[in-house]
Amino acid sequence: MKLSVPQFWRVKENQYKLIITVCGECGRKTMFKRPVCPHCGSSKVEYVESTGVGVLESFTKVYYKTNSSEDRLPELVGVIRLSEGVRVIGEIVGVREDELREDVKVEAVLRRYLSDDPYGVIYYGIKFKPVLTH
Amino acid sequence: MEAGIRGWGVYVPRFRLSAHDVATLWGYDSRLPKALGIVEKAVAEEDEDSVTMGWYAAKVAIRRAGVSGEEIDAVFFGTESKPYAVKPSATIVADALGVKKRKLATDLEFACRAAGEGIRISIGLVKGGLAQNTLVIGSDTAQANPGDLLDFTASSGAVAYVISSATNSVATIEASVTYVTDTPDFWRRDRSPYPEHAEIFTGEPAYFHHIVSAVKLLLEETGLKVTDFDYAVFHQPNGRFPLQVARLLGIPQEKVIPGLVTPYIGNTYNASALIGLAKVLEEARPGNRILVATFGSGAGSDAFSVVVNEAVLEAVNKGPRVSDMINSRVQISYGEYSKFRGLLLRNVGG
Amino acid sequence: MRAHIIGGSVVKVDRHFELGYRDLAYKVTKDCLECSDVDYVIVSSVLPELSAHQLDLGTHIVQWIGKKVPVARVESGESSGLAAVELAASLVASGAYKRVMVVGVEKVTEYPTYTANYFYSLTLDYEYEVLRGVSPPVYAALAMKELIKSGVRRDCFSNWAIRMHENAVSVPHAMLKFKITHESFKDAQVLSDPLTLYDSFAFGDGAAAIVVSSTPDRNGSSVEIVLSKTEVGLPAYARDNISDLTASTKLLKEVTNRFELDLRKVAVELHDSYTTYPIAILRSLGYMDDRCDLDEFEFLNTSGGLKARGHPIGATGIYQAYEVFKVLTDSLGGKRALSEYGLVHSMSGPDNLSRVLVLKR
Repeated sequence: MKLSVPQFWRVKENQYKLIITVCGECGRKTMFKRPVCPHCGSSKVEYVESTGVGVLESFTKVYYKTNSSEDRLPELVGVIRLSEGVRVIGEIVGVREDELREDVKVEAVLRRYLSDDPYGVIYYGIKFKPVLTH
Repeated sequence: MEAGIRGWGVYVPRFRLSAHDVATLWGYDSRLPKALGIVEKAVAEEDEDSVTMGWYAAKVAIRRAGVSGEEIDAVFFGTESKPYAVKPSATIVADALGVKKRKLATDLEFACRAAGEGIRISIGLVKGGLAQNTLVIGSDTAQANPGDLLDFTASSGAVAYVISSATNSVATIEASVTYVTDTPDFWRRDRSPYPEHAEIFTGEPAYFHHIVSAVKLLLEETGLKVTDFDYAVFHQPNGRFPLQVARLLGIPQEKVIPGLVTPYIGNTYNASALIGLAKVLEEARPGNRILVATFGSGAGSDAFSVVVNEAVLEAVNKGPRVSDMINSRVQISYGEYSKFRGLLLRNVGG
Repeated sequence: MRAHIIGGSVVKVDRHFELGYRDLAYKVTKDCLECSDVDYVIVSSVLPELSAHQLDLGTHIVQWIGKKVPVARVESGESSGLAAVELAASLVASGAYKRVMVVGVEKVTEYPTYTANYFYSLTLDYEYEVLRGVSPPVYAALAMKELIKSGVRRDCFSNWAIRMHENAVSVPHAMLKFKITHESFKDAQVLSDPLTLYDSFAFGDGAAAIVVSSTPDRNGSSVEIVLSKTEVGLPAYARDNISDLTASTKLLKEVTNRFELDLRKVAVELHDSYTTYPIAILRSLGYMDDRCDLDEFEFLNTSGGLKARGHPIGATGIYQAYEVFKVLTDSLGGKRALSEYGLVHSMSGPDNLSRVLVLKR
């Protein structure tokens, strides 16, 4: 049992959904439901759930191996501009690296983050995949 | 009051393993894939499982239904590949989609037809007034013993339906019936990684007997004839069985082929016939009548008569289409398939 | 500030398989004359809980090396070393203690590299970055892409690495004492496209110690800590550009203006975990055009930097402080700075937090 159960259970809303903190003071939007605006320090904040649709602004193909990443390598990690205007960083899945282009439309998908194999819990959370076009 | 389908959603992984590659690797005659009616199968990535795929299908179904999480009263998750042997998948998907806490939620297991039973339970809840809307998910990352015949077809995919009263629906479920017996044609013992099956025994006494029996019951109860249906969708363990069962029932191939998806994505188990239904909903015209029959080993079949409503035309465009998901494909090697599905013996948990 | 660095010592950054945390701490303090008579010890280290299953490392170190003085351990990610120096300086400036020994010590080779990579990644936000597949080289790569899009040539980053390796050749305690060329980058392993292994710091075990005293050394071979300042940045995902290292830039701008310092002339150690970051900082400070010429910088990372001296995470800041102290008062790698001032810059993560230390001869 390497993965904590309460730690993830506590933050699952921020992992299962894309919640944006909107500052009532400076108006800036920041990713994740958080108590204080990191830009101006105001605690006058409201929360909005993103539709999960955005544009891939930039991405990198990752070979850096860490304990938990080995079965996912190489991994694509990108910067996404959500339609609500805020940027979020996330893994890009469901696509080959040679197919992926900047400026493609992407949507949020639920995937596994980590799995405490063989007996522990599974952490699920948001990643992104290119939107299917026809 | 009748129940109906208010929204639907499908998820098919883009990565595909060619049946030809399976035949070559495991020493089968290269003509076998054609005999099975299988070209390739969809393969989920390493970080996918029934929950993640079911989530996607359900998200699209809810969008097409135009309901919020607050309006869903029950979540039924039909799967035979649960990420947790004990711990519901339905609760994870419900929470991630913002379904309210006051709800029914459970995982159902009946090989490939648990989601079919989920729809029948939902019809009962809606008609009985215990639920306004229910969410039924069929999702599987089907396992196959590498090299077994199932390795050609066992694939990954998900489907979801929002069931509500027919008034709000894109299609009315005008009748449904279930036929179940104890027939051990296919099983997976506790702690066993892959299922076993009785090969030819899965045909006559299992698949064919149960589907034919369920459909006949449906026709008897409704007074409908097979010629009253514009489409017929059957559970699709391979590309051949659905056409054979149609022949037994006197249904022409043209009515089956629009809903036949297994040749291109493999057998998605709990999603199999229900993805076929989704594809037909996306292509049918209002007024069309669809015959749907699921099958689950063990064994049982649910038969439904579904009539398409006007609202389907608008709902189609609110989510990705099955045909686009089938066509958006990337071929992978058996090596990648093994990596994606965790078939290689690795030291993990270190 | 009435705080002075009066001496210190370092161990070669290397894979010290035969030495643990306590052995490294003993080795570095034994070789440091000024370390013998101190009344407080601050230990800076980042990984002992993860890599050596050890809590309260400070106490175990003073017991092991036989010092019966109070001790505290500091952990502030990659900038732990400078955090420890900052605290030591305020302890002596306040008059509470007279001579504080700051020991930076780190073991990064207790596990395979992928495990060390994982430990190192935890300097980022575990719940909202690490779980999402973000690791330090990902940010360095995305920031490098931004800079390349804004006109910086790829070989600009390579220039930095080449210069660092050149510098390290004559530094006895440096880990990578060999030269590299632009040619080397052609076959370099990619960590996170376009960032390569040659753009990255080297992982090595290490220990460094300095003594911070309320009075200067009688022989004049000490430096005054005139300023220690810290600035917290925004999480990288919350910035307009990941390469906007605003905390570092703000601090460096402030101290260079206040003390009228030219980074081309003074002894300076910049935090170069990845080549992206010093280039981004020097560009936003206006020191660098698109040619990325580093020749004008006389005492820039004389040690070889994190890149080539190595980056024993919690010890790095102490190495940097020791190196600037040596370059100002004696020599490092055969070089002695003529400048009156020296600067040490350290940051944790991609400018999550940055610190600057100003030293004066």
